[in-house]
Amino acid sequence: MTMLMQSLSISGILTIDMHSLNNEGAEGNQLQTRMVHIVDENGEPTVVNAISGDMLKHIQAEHLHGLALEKELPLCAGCTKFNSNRINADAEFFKSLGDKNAIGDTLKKVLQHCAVDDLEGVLITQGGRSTPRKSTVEFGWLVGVPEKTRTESYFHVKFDNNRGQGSGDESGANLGQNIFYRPASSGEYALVMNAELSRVGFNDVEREYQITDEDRKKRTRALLESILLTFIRPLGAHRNTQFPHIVNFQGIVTTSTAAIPAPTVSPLNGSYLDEVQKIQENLNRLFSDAITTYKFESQSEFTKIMADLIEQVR
Amino acid sequence: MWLVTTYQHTSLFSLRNSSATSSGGKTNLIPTMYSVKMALLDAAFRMGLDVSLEFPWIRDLEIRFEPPEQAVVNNSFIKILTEPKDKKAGPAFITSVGFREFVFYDGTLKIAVKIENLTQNHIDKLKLLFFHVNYFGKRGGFLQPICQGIQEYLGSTFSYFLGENGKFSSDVIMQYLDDMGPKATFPSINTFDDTAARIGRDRIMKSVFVPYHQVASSRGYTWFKRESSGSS
Ligand SMILES: [Zn+2]
Repeated sequence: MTMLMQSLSISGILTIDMHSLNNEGAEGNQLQTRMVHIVDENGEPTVVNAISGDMLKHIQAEHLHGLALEKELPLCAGCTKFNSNRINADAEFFKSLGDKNAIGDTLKKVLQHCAVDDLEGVLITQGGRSTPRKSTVEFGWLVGVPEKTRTESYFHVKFDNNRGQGSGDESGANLGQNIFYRPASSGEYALVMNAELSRVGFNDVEREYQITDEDRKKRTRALLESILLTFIRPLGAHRNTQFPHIVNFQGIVTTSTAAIPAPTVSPLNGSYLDEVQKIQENLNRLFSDAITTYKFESQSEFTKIMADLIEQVR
Repeated sequence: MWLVTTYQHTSLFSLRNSSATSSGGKTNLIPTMYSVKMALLDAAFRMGLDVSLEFPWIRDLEIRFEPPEQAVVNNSFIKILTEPKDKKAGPAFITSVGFREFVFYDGTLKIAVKIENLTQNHIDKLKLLFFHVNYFGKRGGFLQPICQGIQEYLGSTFSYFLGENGKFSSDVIMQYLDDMGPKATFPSINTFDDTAARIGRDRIMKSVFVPYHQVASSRGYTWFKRESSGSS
């Protein structure tokens, strides 16, 4: 496999309209949205809307699931149904395993058996095991840019024929007409994510790849495509009734051809694009030009950069 | 003499206190010495070094932290996957809601390592290792190394241990942070080895004074600040 890229990071500002991706819980008929306290660029405390990194990872995993089915990548029984227990829900697979203490061998079989467990990670617990597969992709929290995000509460009436549609009503009353409030947030969110492409199909215990170069290529491409789709076609909570709209995405993609991770800078910092490039210069002096950066101003520019990088996976 | 690496947090940080149960998600205010050493061992793997050979000197490193100027700890309830009480029947994991704390930092985090007793070869490796780290604690809590230098002394804005003498800040918060014990063995700290890390031998708890004072607090958050660097 001639792929040089070992890791990829994105630092960017995602502009989302009217989303409800981040409900923290319900009080009465009012859904609470997630807010975090931060310190703004002037060092003053402020409170902003935020979406947890786990939510973004869930969206990315769902895209990966779809791509894996389409591309006929190997999937375990759990992942075929997008079950969050993943390979732990595959009883047949565990029958094929030997000694529970042979951790390296367990991991090898997991990597060969399921692309989603390989890429998204899992804690293998069945049969008295406790073997971790660390995910190859991680997302940080999406944190609202102060002054540039707002949350409003919308009044909804739910009718009987809407039963079971995942309305978010948690009062228990699900009959007849039902009044509830649902928050919707809009604005600019700072995002950071990283993918360890060099670990696709890699057994961290045996320190070797457990799938063929051809399969690594396919999985790496599917992983990059799922990341691309996460920012182009979001899925997530309440999307039946309140589909989140991504209005814009701007930022910077960084890649590393060495073992140093592709760098990130928090986009809450107004000059993050310049910062990334300064860091790139410094790292490239130490690590022989391992870091490349690609700025983008829109979803279409982002799509082009990702498509070019996916094409390079040969 | 200290090797000091400066990091910028690029997302929210969380590192659950070792004494917390799975339903109590209190975070440490800063990374722990143990988590830094684990990250360095992981970096050594990725650099292609023989980690079992590098382990002894990394285990014995003396580590101090200068926390970012401000930290805001957020209380949060998030969806988590947890093992059910009855592990035999039913699914491996069930969804539940757990309490977690996430920290927003303003400013840089500095990690200092005492280098007087290290060989030049180890110092050279250590310098590179720190550039290979992009998180301590919960994955997704990214940070970015930005620079590195050697300092003769650490100022009063760095953490110190209970019982130490010296010129330290008195405006502090005490945290119990884990470190590797001097007798820790590589199999015991390796997550992929079945040998369990024993508290008190492989993993020891230390009382660390972090130079923060609480500025404000409410139901949802607690805000900490430290004195500026340079003053003492
Ligand atoms: Zn699976």
